[in-house]
Amino acid sequence: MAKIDLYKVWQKDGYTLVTHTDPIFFTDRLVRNQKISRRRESLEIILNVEKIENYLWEVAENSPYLDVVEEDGSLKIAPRKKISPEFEKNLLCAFRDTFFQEENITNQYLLYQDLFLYYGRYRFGGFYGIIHKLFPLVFIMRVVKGYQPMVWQMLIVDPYFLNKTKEKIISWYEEIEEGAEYAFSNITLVQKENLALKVLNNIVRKNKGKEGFNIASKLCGRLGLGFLKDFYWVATQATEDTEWDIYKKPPVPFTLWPERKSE
Amino acid sequence: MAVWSQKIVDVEVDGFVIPASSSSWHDCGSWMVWVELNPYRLGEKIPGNHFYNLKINLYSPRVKYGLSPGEMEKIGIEIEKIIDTYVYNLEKAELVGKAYRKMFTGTLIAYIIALVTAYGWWFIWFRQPFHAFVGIDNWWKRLKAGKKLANYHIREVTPGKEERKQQAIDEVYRYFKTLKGRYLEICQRLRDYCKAKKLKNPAFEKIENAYRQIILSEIEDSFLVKMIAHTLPQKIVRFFLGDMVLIPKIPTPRILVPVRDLDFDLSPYLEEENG
Repeated sequence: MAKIDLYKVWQKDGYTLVTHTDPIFFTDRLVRNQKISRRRESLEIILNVEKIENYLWEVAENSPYLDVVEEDGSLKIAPRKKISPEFEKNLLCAFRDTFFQEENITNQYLLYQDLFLYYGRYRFGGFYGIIHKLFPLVFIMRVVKGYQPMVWQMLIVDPYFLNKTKEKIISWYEEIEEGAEYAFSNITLVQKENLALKVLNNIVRKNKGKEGFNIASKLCGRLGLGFLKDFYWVATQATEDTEWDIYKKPPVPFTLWPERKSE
Repeated sequence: MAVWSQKIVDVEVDGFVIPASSSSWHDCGSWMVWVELNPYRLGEKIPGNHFYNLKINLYSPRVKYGLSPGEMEKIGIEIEKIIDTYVYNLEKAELVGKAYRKMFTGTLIAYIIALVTAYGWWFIWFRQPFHAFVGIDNWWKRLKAGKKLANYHIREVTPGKEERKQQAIDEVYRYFKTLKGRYLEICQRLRDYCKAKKLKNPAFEKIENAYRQIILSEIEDSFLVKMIAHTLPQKIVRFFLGDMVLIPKIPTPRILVPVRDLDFDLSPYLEEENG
């Protein structure tokens, strides 16, 4: 089962959800969506919380849309089978706004990056494509032994092979796109208790008016939740003592000595 | 998904929560989970045309605040990510590499014929024949491991139950607490400690290997530096070989996942709330 880990992080004023995404490589998301598309797996969102709360039972009992199942000591929210199409549409829109849209944009971006391969020399209009157009030369050159490699190359090489590769690349990314669509229509939510997260939240809670984010950003790596550093570090820049203060200093003058004013 | 006629094989491997501190930007100061096999070796273990259930027995030192369910889940997710990304990258490289090989095998034949027929050696400047071997290593890795790794049924991380392995990791942790110094020196001393102990308890050999891998991963070039041509010789090679290096050689990753530093005392952060 494909999994996404979400973290319920305390943000001084309330909770926010943070997910672990690599800022440089998008590969893990592509991998997940391709896997889902091929294996028809359902997507499991693991919600890391400080403490598993029972209010989920109450929410789900009264809800016509959600169902709660207990599994391995953790509560699991699964959608009931009958959801009104309007509500389902709204839910899907909400997800599309966040995960889905971003993943599809990434997908398109990487597709065009990979199509770079298509714009190589082997295209029909490229260098070897033009060489191939000189095919009739083969009949002139076949007598001369020295031209044999070129003759064979003209006979053997398929000038359209890169166009085929292009189609392969496009279908590869289509598969991933399809996987994303399937994934975000089959979601289950599981709560898991996370001790490291509890510590970080306690730190921010305790130092509300102080440098809570700064402390958390320095400690989260050691607690094994290093990806939160990107979240905390940005938060410190906005609310606490920041490294950007250097820009508040008066600028260095262009001339070292003040220009003499004309008397 | 496995069908009723599909054969399923169980693969069990050991993982250890290793006292060490990572030095990367994101995981500064964290410990490491190390799994004894890299994805390629793991794939080799699975017989062909079989599905597999992967069970990772995780041994961690006994401490006051052990790994919580969320952290265990995270370890599982990260290990799966490493394996799946490896499989994905191999297949992606083969998507184009296969077409190159198929096309240039013909050219290779032409080249061999020219060796016999042509007068003079001017044609050795054709660089096409080498394309017949583009991504051949990726092809081999995918045949041996990549194809099989994708056929999983269940993959889980569970706490290990073998007492000797548990003793070994506890002992390593006890020794780790006595050490002071720079990070890599600590790792080297722990490696030597395990080396000395491995005759008494074979579990130490695995932990010694883990430290070797951790030290290597700290010393080696990063993934980015490996992939990007940043030195002059590399740039020259890339210029002349052009398309050949567009299909990269997929590096086999180590299964190393950062986890919470179990030596770090959480009680001041957790007990205030209760008290």
